Amino acid sequence: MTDSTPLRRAVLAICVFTTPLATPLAAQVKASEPAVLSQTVDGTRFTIEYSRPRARGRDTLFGKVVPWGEVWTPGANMATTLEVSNDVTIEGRPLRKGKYSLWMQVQPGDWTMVIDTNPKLYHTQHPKEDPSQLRWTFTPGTGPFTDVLTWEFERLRVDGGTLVMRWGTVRVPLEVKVPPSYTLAFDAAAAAPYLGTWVLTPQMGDDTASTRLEVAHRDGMMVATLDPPLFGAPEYRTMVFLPKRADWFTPAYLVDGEVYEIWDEVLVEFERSGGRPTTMTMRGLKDEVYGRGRRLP
Amino acid sequence: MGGRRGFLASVGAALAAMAGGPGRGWARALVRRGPHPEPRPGITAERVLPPEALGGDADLIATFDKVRRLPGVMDGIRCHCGCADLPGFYSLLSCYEDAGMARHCQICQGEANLSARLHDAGRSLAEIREAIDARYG
Repeated sequence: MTDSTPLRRAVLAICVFTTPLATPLAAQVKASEPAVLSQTVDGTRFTIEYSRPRARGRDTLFGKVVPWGEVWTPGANMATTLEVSNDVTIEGRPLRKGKYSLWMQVQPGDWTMVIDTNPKLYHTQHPKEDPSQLRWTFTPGTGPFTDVLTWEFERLRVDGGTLVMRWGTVRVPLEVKVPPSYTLAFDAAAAAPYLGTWVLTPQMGDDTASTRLEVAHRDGMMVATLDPPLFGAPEYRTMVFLPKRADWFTPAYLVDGEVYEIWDEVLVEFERSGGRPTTMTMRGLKDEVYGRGRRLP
Repeated sequence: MGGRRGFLASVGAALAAMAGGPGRGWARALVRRGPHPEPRPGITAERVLPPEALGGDADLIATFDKVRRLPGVMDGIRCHCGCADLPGFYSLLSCYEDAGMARHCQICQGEANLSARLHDAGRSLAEIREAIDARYG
């Protein structure tokens, strides 16, 4: 009889050391993989949730893969959804805050956009026409071939942007606008005490060079021209004072007349002497001093 | 780090540590508005985290010292960063007690610093509350 102990030990060792490897990975490949587009514009968030079908060499997507007349969701699997965190306009049409499913009825000529209030539809659950929907007719555009269906914001502005769907050579742009989170307007009489020439000196970091501010009332706003601009950067040459409360302002910057940036976390606080603003302090979120300014005679 | 990069880093990076993401208006996204509490009679600073627990951070120590000096004011201020909704939190003072979560929050620190500054300038609690709401609400 042969001694089987070493063989039994070897077999047991193999069983012990290979058993943890026996658990299979969950299958995860999808023909149309899920994706999310999330874009914030001035505090309003747009979220598109969709699955991304691929052309896979099919050269006739619309009229064949997507038959003419179909109410098609621009995606796959669950219907593509659009969620907006504030009331917005889309192609000039009001859309209330909320979550919606997106559909397009495809035709050889003009298509129909359908935004339905039910965000939980499968791609085969084509919504019937309903008064609660937002619908309009449009002419689809064309562009370079895109293999994987894509949603993206091609352009952004301070008040909105261009949301685009592309698949194959079809390109569908949607202009969206958001409500502004700020007001630039400041009454001329209210601005009068602050107008004049000021000098602002940074109080933090290595930058100690002073900046001259010419504060004026212009185009309904209280505006300062900075010389030199903050940080030596031209985008910080024109400051607008956004009113917050008496003698308190939030600084914003204009480039070519459009809001470039709002320093929401910064406070510009004017201090008065003899009833007249004579000094200013720029403060951070912890109330720490970023800069001090004084009015020039 | 000076200049623009240093300035923006001091504002943006600190907010990233607090809120976990980039973009303007982070602080506003954290705001939890609500009424200010009434200061509790006889409230003291006995539970405020001591200086030796603040890692030698001079600015933080100074802020906690202001809270320690003015518990009756801090107890009448709501913290707008969201901790007011946490169980056991009563006022801005609560943010500085026990574990002292204000150590990690710019809004808690800002509210305390601003409250102390306005109190020392002779402002009433009502005026301080109005300023806190305008700045952090």
